[in-house]
Amino acid sequence: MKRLIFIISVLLFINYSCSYLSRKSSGENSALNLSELTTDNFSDKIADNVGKEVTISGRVTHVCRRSGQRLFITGEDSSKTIRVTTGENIPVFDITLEGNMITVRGIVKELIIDEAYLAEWEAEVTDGAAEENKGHEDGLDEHQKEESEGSGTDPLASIQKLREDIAASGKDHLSDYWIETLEFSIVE
Amino acid sequence: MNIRNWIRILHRDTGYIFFGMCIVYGLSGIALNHLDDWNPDYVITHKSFSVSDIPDKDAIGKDWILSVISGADLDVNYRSHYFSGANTLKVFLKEGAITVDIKSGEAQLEQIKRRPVFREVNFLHYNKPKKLWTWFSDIFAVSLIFLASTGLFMVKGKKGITGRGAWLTLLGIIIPLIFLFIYLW
Repeated sequence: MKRLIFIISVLLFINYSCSYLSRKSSGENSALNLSELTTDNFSDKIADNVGKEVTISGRVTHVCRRSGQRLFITGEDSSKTIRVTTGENIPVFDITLEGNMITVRGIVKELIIDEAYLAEWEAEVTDGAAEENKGHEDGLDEHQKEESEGSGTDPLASIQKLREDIAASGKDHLSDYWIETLEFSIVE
Repeated sequence: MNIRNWIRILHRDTGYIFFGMCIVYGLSGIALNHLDDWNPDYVITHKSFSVSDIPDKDAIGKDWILSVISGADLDVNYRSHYFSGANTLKVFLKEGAITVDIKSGEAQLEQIKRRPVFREVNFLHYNKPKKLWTWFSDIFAVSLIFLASTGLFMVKGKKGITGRGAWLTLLGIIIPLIFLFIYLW
């Protein structure tokens, strides 16, 4: 029994050390990659920061009730919100974070919504797989898809709308950005 | 020692080790089976009320909000607020949030409390810790298969797998197959 407890303790220590080292290595690079963003200038600067480590603060306006895997923060301009997802070191966001000011250190992620993405989504809908695969893992936010699929709006109409938005943008794609959390802290 | 004795010993000791895990996954299994009926992690309650004498949007601040909370006799603690829409005031509380339509005066209090025990077992069942927990829960899953398999051979005779046990086992396999035939295949 003592040997078993010792083995379990060693394994837990190794598990914690691996987590610590991965966090530390991110921290060592942060001096090179950190850039100050705000929720208000996020949309202007975000395209230049994809894949980079950023620090951003904002007030939590919503935490996903179903999974706790994502939350939204806002700043002075409450019309601008930023989606923040959990990461390897953060398993879940507590709903009670809502209303708190938090500072998030994370990696900026981008999903490119182009014709290939829309065609795949369209195939899921027409194959009847939309219910099982509601919300891509790292794609269009589940809330956004649920808003279109769950609120009575035809998902195919939403897909068509996105195609029109792409055409109107003058580019061959739209971009969806979010921050994948490395660590966060409550400011107030 | 014969094979049946070894089966009993291993079944017994594996059962002891994973008793806790069976309770964790059993409880969370019940909780997650009824996701359409409830939120297994939080107790969320709603209460509607009306707000009168709403000032202009620019004049709405913490003091006015505190007076609304007091006037509605709500036992809550203000944290912060912001306007989530042109006419929608959202007040964050330590216990949840109040959403107020400043045009109509309709307000709704949403109170959120963590659901003890279920929140913890669901956290584990969803494999939120990842890493080492994934290994441990995979070992548990394999052990469940082991426990089920060895359980078939615990008893000899007419109440064992060669007697009544065979029919009960068959019944336990046929029931899920029926559901698969009806709903999937």
